[in-house]
Amino acid sequence: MAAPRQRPPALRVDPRCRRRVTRVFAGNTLYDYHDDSAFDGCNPLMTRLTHIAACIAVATAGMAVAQAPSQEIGSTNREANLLAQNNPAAATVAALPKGTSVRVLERAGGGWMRVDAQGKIGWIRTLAYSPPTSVATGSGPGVFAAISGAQAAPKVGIGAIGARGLTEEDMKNATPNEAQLNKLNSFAQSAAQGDQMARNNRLQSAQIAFLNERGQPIAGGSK
Amino acid sequence: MKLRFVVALGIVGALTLSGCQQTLQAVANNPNALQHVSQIGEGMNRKTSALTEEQEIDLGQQIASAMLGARPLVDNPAQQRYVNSVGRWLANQSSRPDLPWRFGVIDSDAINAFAAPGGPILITKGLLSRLNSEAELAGVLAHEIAHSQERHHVTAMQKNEESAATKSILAGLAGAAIAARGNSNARAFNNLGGTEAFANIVRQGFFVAPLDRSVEYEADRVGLVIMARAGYDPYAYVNVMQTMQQLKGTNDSMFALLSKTHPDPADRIAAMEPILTALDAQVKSADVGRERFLVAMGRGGEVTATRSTNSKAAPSKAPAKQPAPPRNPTRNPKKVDAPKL
Repeated sequence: MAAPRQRPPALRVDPRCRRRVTRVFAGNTLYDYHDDSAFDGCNPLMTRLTHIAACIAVATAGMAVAQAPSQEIGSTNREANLLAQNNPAAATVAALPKGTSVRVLERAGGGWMRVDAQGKIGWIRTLAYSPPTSVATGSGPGVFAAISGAQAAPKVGIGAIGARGLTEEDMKNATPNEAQLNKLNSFAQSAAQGDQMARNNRLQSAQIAFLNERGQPIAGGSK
Repeated sequence: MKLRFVVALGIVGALTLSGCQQTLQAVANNPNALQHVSQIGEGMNRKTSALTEEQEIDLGQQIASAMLGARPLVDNPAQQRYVNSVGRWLANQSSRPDLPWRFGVIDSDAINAFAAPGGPILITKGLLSRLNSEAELAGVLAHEIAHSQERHHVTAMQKNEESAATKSILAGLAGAAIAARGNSNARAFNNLGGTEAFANIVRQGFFVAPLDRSVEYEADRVGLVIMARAGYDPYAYVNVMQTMQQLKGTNDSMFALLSKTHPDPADRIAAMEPILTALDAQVKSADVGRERFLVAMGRGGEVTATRSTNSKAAPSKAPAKQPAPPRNPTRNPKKVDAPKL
């Protein structure tokens, strides 16, 4: 069974420069984003050292992260192995029967999620998980805050004040708006600009054929 | 613009004549043009290619104009450009990269996205606020791009030509065409009811009537491949669907229309499994782009380590490849970068 991940120390910042600091993990490194407010009166060096200490602690804790406990509790929709790592070859922590209640700790890419299955921590495939479907009527921040880890979704549910939907009635009364259409067209990006954005962000294109329902390539479906 | 006039005639006449001017004359000279238009509509469902791409584009522009009349764009040019850059990169991977693709965030708390024929794609700010990464945004946009690539809405219109709504629209377009007879100026056509007739396409349920379920599943399949071609993690779209799954349970009124017009999210996820399995073997690198998405959305405060920046991240013990560090780590502590467009 994998040892529970240790939570890193809270980020301590000189009280005189208690600005918003956002922590980002990339690879094994913890980065801190600061907002662009002034750092009047603070001691950046001490702040930096505090951060470095936090990074070391985090690294030794096995890439643990600082976050509020997720409240998203769903269940497995099939038998699933709880794995020690996000890798199909990793050791099995526990075999989870279908319907096991799990709390989502992290949604990683590649179809993996880290979960707490009644005290056992490990990784399962996202496809083996079903989110909770019976929640309070209306939409508050709760369930989506859980999905995102921190996000508070706007209150736009039933009874929400000031919410602007887009209902059938709205569409029935639609009046064409050429000025808005021109505005939409003004934001258009060229194909070259799209390619440039990809290069800037190191997105790599791949030659992949379109697929049928069974996941088989469709003849002529490749670019 | 003459094109709008031609589009109307393209629809009502289903291009039964070889040239648009001939079609114009045929309609204009026919004393029973409205009846004639209804009759020739019968063949439209067998003529899915009846609308040329040029006409399809113009039709889409008119439909987008009506939608923007219902809800305007969010007044945030930086965000609009960001969504356009992501969308354009995805559209470059489609089989119709040369369409005039436009992406707009509309000022509505509803959770939905729309594809008009020929390129315009609109996403509500309500849906955008539920997304958590660029790859999730890519999933939504790729699904809509797939609808346009496959001409799903055009086909649906042609299939539904027998419906009272479609006949009414056709009649409106024909009426405007007749009123503008002898005048090939688009403004005359628009002023004489053409624009209103186009708006009726939206008013009478263009985006309210669900497409065939099979078409939504197809858009999911095509969208996943477009995502993968563009280097995004296709599993991010599963996250979106799981968000939808939860929304469905909330009876949230903002989700009502999308819920009505699409299959159950759980069924959609199930249908994606073979596609995702097939893509597992083909996707060598995949990006999630959580940080740059949140920064672009003005939600930089949400940047945490709760989701990986690299979907193909190797197990935590021995990562095969380190993801690139964020562009503004502590060494430059004053400012968070805006996404590079």
